Amino acid sequence: MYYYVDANGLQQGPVSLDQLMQCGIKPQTLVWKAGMAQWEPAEKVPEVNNYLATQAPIGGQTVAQPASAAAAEQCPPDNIAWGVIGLLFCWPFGIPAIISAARVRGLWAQGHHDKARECSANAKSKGLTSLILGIVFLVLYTFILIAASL
Amino acid sequence: MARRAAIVLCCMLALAALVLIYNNDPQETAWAPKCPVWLLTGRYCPSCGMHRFVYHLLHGDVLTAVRSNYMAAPMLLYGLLVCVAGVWPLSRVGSWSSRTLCTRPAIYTFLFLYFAWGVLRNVWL
Repeated sequence: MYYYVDANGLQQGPVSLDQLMQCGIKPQTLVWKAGMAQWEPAEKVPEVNNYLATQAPIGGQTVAQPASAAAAEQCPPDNIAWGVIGLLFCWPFGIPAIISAARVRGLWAQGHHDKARECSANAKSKGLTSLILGIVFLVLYTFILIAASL
Repeated sequence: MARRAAIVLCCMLALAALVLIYNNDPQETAWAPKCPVWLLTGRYCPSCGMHRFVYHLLHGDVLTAVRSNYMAAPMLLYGLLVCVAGVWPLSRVGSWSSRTLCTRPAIYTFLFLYFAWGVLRNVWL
């Protein structure tokens, strides 16, 4: 399984070698797989470079790649951090956030791209909501306590 | 650059929160917020004691901190690593966290442990 860095600087994957080639990676695209010490440009990873070499432009002409449409589609951020923050601050609202976040990558891998984007957005908004609700409650409660003691 | 500004803002807010917590003992001041679950039921939720944990840790009292909430340290560490994965996915820590801690089994394990701890602390502790 391979991981790579998309044009927006986001980590993508895991994908198989075949899928990796559908993602429009370039020789300079950073790639990682289990066993590698760090990210390397695709051209430094032998099997990836082999494939890239077979796809190189012939006679200076760029080969039209049908995969370029797929390259524009990137897995949305899973927003797990929002889910976890939401859970720690206000768990009743954090649960749906973290579950949405957990579903993003799987849905994307299965090809349900719209659902994956929806879950990504949900995870973020619900996580943010529970953080804000947590803080609002705490502040409100404190004010009530202070007011009651006056 | 909006992204960088957001990161700096979040770090400053977190720092401000830490300073505020450091300077106010949660068991002394009326300003310390209380958990709604504890107020309503008198039982601890899984996150209860997090405020006290941070306060005692900042004052170097590790033992009292851990006693406030035994799972606070692992939960906060997990949260921190997941945040690193979200903000700097290409860093050494971030990419490791993204590949291991941000997978579905890891997330559901965290979710399970969170509530298991909530039950455990009320039943046996």
